Amino acid sequence: MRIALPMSRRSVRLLCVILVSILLLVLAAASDLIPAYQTSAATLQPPAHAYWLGTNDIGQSVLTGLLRAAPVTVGLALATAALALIIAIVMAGLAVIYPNRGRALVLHLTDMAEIVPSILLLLLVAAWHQPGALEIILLTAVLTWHDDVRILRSVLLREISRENITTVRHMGASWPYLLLRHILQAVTPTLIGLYLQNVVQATMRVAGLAFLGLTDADLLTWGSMLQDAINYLHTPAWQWLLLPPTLCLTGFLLLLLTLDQRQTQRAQSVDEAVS
Amino acid sequence: MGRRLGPALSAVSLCLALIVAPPPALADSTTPTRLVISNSNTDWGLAAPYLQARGGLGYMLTHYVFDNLVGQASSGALAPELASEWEVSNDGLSVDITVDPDARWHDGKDVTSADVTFTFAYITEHPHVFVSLDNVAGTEVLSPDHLRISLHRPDAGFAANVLAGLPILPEHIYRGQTNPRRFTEPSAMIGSGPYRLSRHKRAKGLYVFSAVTDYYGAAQKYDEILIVKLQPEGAIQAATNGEVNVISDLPNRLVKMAKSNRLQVETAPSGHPIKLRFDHEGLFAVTQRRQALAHILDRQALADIAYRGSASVASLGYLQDNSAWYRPNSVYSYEYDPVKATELLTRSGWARDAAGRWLQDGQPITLRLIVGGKEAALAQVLQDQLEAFGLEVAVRVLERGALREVAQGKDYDLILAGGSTLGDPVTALERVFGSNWNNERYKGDGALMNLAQAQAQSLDPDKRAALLAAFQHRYSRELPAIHLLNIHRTIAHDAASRPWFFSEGLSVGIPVAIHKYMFLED
Amino acid sequence: MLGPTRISPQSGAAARPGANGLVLLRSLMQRVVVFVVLLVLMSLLPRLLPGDTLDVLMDSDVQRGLQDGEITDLRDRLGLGGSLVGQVGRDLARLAHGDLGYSLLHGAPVSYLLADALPWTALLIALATPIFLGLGVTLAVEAGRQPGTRADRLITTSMSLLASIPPFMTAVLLFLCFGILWPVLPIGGAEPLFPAATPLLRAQEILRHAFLPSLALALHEVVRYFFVLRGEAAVLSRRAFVLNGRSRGISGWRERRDYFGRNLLPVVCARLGQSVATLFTASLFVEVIFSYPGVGALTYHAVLDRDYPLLQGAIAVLALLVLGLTWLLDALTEILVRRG
Repeated sequence: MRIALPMSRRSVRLLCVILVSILLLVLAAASDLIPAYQTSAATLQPPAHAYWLGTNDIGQSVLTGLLRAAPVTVGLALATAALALIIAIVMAGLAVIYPNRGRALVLHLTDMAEIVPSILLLLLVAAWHQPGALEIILLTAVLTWHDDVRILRSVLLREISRENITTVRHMGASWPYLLLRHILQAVTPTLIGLYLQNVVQATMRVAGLAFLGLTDADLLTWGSMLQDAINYLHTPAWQWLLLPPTLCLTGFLLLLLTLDQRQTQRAQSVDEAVS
Repeated sequence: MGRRLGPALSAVSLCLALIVAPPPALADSTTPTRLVISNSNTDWGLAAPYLQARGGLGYMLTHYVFDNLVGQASSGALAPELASEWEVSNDGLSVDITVDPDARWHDGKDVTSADVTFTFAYITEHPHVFVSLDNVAGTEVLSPDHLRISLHRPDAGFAANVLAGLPILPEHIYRGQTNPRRFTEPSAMIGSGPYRLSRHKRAKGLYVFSAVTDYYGAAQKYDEILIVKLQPEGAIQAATNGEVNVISDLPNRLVKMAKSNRLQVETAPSGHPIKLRFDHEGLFAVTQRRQALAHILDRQALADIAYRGSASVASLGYLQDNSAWYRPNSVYSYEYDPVKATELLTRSGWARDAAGRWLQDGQPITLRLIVGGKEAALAQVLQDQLEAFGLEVAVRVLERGALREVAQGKDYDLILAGGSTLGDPVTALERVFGSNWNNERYKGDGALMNLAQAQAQSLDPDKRAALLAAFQHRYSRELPAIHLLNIHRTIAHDAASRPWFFSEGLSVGIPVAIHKYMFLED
Repeated sequence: MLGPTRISPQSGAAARPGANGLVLLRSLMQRVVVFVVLLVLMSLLPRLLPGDTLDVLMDSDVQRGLQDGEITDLRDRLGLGGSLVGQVGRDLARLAHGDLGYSLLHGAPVSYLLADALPWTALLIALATPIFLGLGVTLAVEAGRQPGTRADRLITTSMSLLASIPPFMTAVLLFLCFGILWPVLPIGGAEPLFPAATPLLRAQEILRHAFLPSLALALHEVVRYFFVLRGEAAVLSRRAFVLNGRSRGISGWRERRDYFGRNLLPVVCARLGQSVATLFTASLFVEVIFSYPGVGALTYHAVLDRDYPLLQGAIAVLALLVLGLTWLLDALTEILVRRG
């Protein structure tokens, strides 16, 4: 599949983000590079030469923990957001391709998915079985795809009703051809914007679940490190147990938000220039 | 912008100032004989045998309100309570009980032997969580103050388990109650104990117990006992203000903070050691491997890292140092000795590869360890120790329900869980050889079981001590489970109050220091 | 400029003009379907779990050794017997009659526990709502009325920063700063240990205890409203009537209130429906962190304790409240929109 994307500055920035993320994930695969997250007798030590960010209550180095949790946290968020977006694309596509029945069905499903108080469902499932990585991705994606459907649908409708597209359709082009060759290019900025927002939401959701201790105990994420830190707020240990994971999460989210803002700014200015 | 905003801003800052300023300190209620106990979780149900919450704390609450036949002196030795005398026959098959003629229910009626016989019959029909009446053949009323209990078999622990553990119910209230768990009228809590529950606010987690007038037993020290729900950090703050007297669940990490706030801290072993249990039909059916494991683990390091001073190394002979029957000399102690462990493992059939990993039949060994949420941190430290030795460990943290359902030998090689050793050693029969989810499920060659049965039926204290010493020795050689650590319970209190831990626990073996004997004069 | 809020237009009824009665009805039917599905799921899932309430109740080291007949008997008496479908059906019937069940772990009917906890959560939400609405609208108007100025950039940057701190972390940081490091406010419970006798003092104590949690709740919502409202305000600032007004010399408080504030109200109303669900989610974290005895903390501890009767009852009531409130708010918005 050849996609000719203009290599503007925004795309370069986004590519950088993706590359960094992939690098983090590679770090996970070659996890010998990061030292093992080992317990030791040096419990609750402040940052020092031996442990740059101090240790937690069973002697594990906070820095090692952050590095090991990074691919998991970021990877979970990226995967969840991707899955949610894919589901939304499929739904929006159905609503557009089958304008009568498909639209009604999709809108019903979207409305109902929107209505469900997702936290209650999450609590219920967590009480049943603490979700591991795959289950988190599935569960969160299923609960959040509805956010994107309406925008995607309106954008798709807008693109399809453009003159060049209608002409090509009259000439008998099939849907896949249309989607790939013509529509995808125009829809990409919206997709990227939605994806970034999904990643932000997913990060916060998963971190929140981990913070409450509702995820699988084996899953090491920044959120679960925060859960460990809560017990030590009354001791000086909060400085090196609480702040580093918070800063990591905040930094990551800030990066995504900035990218999203820049990207929409550009999209708006492009729109204004065109109209 | 200025004109409307000015007054608005001052209104907001006034509100903020009011909120931030603490309200004037109120003089506390003028009852000087009030004791306030705090705990982070006070969902203990109501103070009746079928309304109490599960677990020892619910039992303790009922114990304030319902006296048992036999109680405990401050040393922990059995002392008269509702039964002024009890005598076991020579053959051990019947127990004669004299009910204290002064004993009264809270509504004024006398406690008679009819109540006791009724209780035995009722509890046989509606099982009690902690006390088993399987061995009771029948009860017989000899007079309003005398009764005789017949047993199927002699039971050395009968007095400590049943007489001291069974709450006595009022016949005139409980007769005809077919669903005692739904019997929530105030009359369900009419007992014979020194206190009664006068107020209970469920959402706030508040209990107020008032002293019973004309209590037949020792005088009560306090007119009111309050149990309040406070997180330990908040409780320490309240204690410094004099609002709280006893903080009954102080975590280890706050001991320093409590002491710096001029509170006294009592610690005691909880009698609930953390045990490493085995799948006795799998990899660890071979005794040498279990012994090797005891040599591989540096249990002092486990205590230092995972519990940071609030745990001590446990004895590997089943009974711990809080028990009167503990004989450290007869217990084999397994020092941290990797060389010895290697030798034992090689003899048992495992081999070691060049990288140091252990193999069975050429395949690398992965030990499957399951653990409940509370001991997850310990499991991590354990895993690191075993992996440093070359044994791969796959840890699964299971929640309580799943832990219960794990069938023998299905999914695990090792289980890490706490277990009680409190109470009379007759319970060893069940805990070591039983097939319940939290028993050790051991069979062995039968010698250990014979010793356990013999001591359970031995009524002569000296003979029993010798049998138990032999039991501990044999246990430490066969290792049905490895007792890793004794966790300490900690309680903080002000200078005026005097809680204490019984060495063998309250009643059936509950490790609490805020029992009713703390509220009574000696 | 868009922050963590969705770009999507308003949900449900408010987005579609015309035939609104029908749309509202459809929205109601959808809610009923969702509610029933949730109830069934809620009844089903705990029963698929290994281990059940009976085991939990009888948990003790020294097993009682119940006979099989005794066990089934006990199970039946506690409502745990029969086939799966039968059990689910019985649960639904029970709920339909308003019997929310009995929590054996707490030793109390679920309705009592909920009745004790709901007012506190309601208090937090009631205190938080004016804060986030007021702050959200004010800041959005300040930033949006003159986009691109220093004030705009300053406010928007700090809001972006706030948006990138996960909401539970803002609660923890508030807890840390004002409860531990500079302990001016209490950090646990809804009331002090011995509440004051006079109502005025008692109200002051309650407010002191509720201040930090409701602030934490409000901060979470402010960000959402800010970004949407700022966008709207920015659009408004380019409209002719505003420019006219400015050229006529209207500025300051009057401009903000009459030109911006009034016109942003419909947007606020449309968003309020979404706030109900997010506020409840946020209150879960806030109540757990501040040990506040509301319904969020109750549900959370029910999950941890696997107290299924309580969890079922709580979820039924909460789902009813959330679904009902959002529908009511949609209907209200409809009425307001039609009134013009």
